[in-house]
Amino acid sequence: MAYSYIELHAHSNFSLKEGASHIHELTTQAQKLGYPALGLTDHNTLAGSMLFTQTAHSLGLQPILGSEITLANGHHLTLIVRTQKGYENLSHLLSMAHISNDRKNPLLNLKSIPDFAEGLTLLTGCRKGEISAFLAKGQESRALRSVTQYLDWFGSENVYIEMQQNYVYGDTLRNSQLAALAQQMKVPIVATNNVHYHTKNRHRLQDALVAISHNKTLSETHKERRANAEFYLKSQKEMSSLFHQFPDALKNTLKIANRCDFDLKRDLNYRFPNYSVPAGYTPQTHLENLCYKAARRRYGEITPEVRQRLEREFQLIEKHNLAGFLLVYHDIIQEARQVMIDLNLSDPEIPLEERPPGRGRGSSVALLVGYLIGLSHIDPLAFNLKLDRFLSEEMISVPDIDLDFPREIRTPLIERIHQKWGWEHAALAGMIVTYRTRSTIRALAKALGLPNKQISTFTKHMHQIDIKQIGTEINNHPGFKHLANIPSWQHLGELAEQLHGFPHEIAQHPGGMIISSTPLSKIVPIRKGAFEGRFVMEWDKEAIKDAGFIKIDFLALGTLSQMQEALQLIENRTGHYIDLSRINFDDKNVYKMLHRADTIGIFQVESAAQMQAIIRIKPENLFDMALEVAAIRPGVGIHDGITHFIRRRMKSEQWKYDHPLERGPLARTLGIILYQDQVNELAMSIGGFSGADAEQMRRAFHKREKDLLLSAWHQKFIDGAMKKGVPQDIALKIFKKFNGQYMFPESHAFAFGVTAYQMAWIKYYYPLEFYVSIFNQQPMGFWSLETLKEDAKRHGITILNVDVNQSGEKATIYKESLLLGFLHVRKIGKSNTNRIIKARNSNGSFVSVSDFVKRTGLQIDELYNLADAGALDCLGTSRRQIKWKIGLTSQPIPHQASLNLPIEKDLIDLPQQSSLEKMQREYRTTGIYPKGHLLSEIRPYLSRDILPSHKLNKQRHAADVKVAGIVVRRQKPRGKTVFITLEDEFGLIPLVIWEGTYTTLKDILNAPLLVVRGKISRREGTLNIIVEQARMLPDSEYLPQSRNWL
Amino acid sequence: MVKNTGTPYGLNTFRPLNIPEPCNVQMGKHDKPQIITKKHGKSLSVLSIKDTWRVDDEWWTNHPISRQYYTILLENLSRTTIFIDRIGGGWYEQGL
Repeated sequence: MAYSYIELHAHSNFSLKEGASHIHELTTQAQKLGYPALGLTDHNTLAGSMLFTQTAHSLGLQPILGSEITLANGHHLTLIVRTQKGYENLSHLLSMAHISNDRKNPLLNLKSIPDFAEGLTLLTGCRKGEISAFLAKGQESRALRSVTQYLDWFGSENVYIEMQQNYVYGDTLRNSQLAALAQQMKVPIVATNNVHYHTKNRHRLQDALVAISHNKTLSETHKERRANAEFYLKSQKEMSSLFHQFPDALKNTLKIANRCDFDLKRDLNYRFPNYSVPAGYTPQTHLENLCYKAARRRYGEITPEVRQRLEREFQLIEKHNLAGFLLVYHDIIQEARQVMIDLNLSDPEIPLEERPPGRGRGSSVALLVGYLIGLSHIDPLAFNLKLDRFLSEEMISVPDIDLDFPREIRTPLIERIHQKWGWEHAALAGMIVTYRTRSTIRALAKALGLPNKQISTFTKHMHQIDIKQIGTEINNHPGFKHLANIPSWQHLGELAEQLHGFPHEIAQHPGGMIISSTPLSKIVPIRKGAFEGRFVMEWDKEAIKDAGFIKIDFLALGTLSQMQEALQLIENRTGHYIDLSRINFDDKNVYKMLHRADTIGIFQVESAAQMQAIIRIKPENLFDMALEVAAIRPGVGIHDGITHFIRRRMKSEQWKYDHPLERGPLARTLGIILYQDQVNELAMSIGGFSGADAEQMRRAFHKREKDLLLSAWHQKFIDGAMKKGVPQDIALKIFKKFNGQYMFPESHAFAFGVTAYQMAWIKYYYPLEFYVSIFNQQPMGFWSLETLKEDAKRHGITILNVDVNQSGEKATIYKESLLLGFLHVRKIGKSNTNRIIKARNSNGSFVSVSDFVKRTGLQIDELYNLADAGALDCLGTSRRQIKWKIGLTSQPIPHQASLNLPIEKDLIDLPQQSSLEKMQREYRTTGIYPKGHLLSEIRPYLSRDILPSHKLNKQRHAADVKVAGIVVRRQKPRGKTVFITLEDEFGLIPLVIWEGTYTTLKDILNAPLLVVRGKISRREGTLNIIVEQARMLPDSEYLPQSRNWL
Repeated sequence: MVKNTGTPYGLNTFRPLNIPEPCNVQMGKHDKPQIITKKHGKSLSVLSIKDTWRVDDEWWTNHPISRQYYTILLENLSRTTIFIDRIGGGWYEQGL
């Protein structure tokens, strides 16, 4: 087929706030228009390059990579990758543009280009290019000089004068000037269309994006926006017509495309760093040596079982050349241990395994070698964890190893690794932050000039609305339907659907890091991170996986910080450091506590859904804990898997396998897919897949372009199943059980299940330390501090208000109670805390309000907050009196020092605050009310038929009840039912609101304080109230905030 | 310096300038303007099209704009700019 034109200059939405089409939209349109290739030239980035390459390949298009870079003088230049060297050079140039300038404003110094021009083709740029700008100003000689310079740097066969005809005023004149210049200098011309969207109608979104990027409205951005809708991917016929006067400009696009011989998938030059081993060892023998030594320490002797497993792992490690890779991890763990020692959290004398700095998660936990070199806290032999998902004979890529660390260890560890390897060899993985529902609405509303107030009201409802339904919602909502015919409101719905899911920022992945022996900047552009001293690559985890990089995940896990602090507190109080790997994992008392759903604050099992499940699953051992934490996951719930699993476990549902071949993969989870591993196992058992194919199929479900990929896997599965004698309809039924929603790998479930059990054990045996540590690690977990406080009180813990003579920075143990710290008080902060503690340590306890005011020099607002929080109760009899004294003593800054005059004559008798007043002020200043609960204050004013939570247990199924409480949680999982939890002074009250009821009551149910009427529902030991009616109670603006997942 | 006319300033002293005037345009080969008939009824042939450009704007308001402009050289060797309103449908002469 003869082609007349190939588009070499196209922007996807990775040209952030400029490009208005997804990569798959551009490539699909290019294919539809019959193009053989497409050039992606996003602004100053290669962030979309991997996705583009994959998508283009799947459509049979040749992907041509490039970038439109911004020079330090503000002009644009288009660079196209011809060879592998060219790609490395472009990546390096982009890294320099990002690293040497302001993080959000990458600029490339022209002087950097000559050394990195090899393998690149230069197009002189759009209307913002240097040449165009000089010609527009009549500076022809400067234009000539610039072109000469480009020719020197890139070579005469690699420089093209770029012409664009987008029907913008001035295009015709500029093109004739460019053509004349090209002829004069004997430089070839090339046509491009500076594509910013795949189809014409997307120009509106492009306009809106430009307004968003300038933080202005569309009306305010006439100068910044493009003049018209001509920047779409045009057909070869349209482009031929536009450039019929310049046939060479069209032909040269084909010539340039033909010379591009770089494939990102094929030609990347990534190598994991080598590990230096002691003389006489290879990485393999060194690793084996380390493992045998550790195995002797852990097991006392090398049992046949241990030897057999180790030999199998060593053989696979050698086959895939992974010894150096694992030793680098071992090195990282040693670095983390050093961080612990620096933070006084460990001692060089204590062996690594006694105080591990972190712990593994994910499929790597199945590796015995990992357990022995400190990458995991789980003995895979004890739990019969299968190796296959992590390491197999036909592994398709090097597996990830994820490590969880307490927050205080993770941050310095990342910095140490940057320092050790340098930013060119160690960078954090990128994360593409996309527009979510609210950010989409807010950004577009501003661009469209819609009033802030109306948008705030509108977005409050948005968490309950599908982005595709915005138009319908505007039409139907009583508060907005009068706006439905206004064009800007109509456009809001249309544009929101398009913008939703667009990338709007490249941020850092929560902990993924890539280490490479070849400079990373030559593989993918590197940028400065938001935090000083951190460097981030432009690819996200999907692109990294596709590129075959080895990603090391350092994740901060709040619960590990809590665990670390709790163990430290226990050691301080008892003198013994508890080794959590040696506690009794079959403790009936701990499991009984879990069976009661007494799980608030316990990692992984504290959510409302987990609380309902754990009552029914009733875990008895660590195997069951893994089932418990794996069950409540979207991928399990999607086909009602959780309900069926629970019923089967409770023996209340008869079931059988869809085919006997399911028995192997699914027997341990009663015929339900609970773990990722089981998808692979089914693909192998039923579909006859190899391990590598099964893993690729499972991954395909998670890809953005999964629809393209899955049809092939589907057919392969059905064909394979039929060959194994599985009837087609059964094979189809089994394939439908697979989905792209998240599930845990089995070994990950074990890792988290063990951590959950360990936290439960601490809660049961050391509740005071458990609550002090969770108070200090906020924000974390599912529940607010107020709910945690109520739970602590139910476990016999007394919570004490902040006390200026006793408190520390954070919560502490004081007289067998939990004493709040100064940081819990609003506006106090670290510096004021230090002033208070320093004053107290220097001259002893404070003896009066005026003594405190004078010795700390705190400002009046801070003093009032301390008084309202009860922190000064030890210095007076009444909080009103204390605040009166503060008013008499405190002096604003700057002011001369006050005379030490007596204030007694100015004192007056003031009444005590009521407990309700105290509560409101404590909620305002600390967010919690240690002495009581709002409901106990207002209970006397409620009607008598409103039942307290502890009396609900006596109610029969279907009984009509009325309850009242503070809303502490609202949640709408994937279904249409909404779940709310109320809290009264005795405990939690779970509410279920069916879709119809919620539609009627949703405005009321948004209130913080509710009275609800409904019917008791008792199922399999659980208790819920099915809401029928609700009304709000008058509330205070300072009530604790609920946690919402709607 | 311009002499002060003594006319007081006020909103009614402002008036729009350069308002486009309706005209008729007969299209020729390749869908390009061939003959223009101006408001006063005079018809002139188009000798050449010097430039063409397009504006798409204000689509979020009640008055969206979508116009294709042409700068043309007429048989009397005068230059003018005309546009077709792609929403309203008529041709206009914009004396730039």
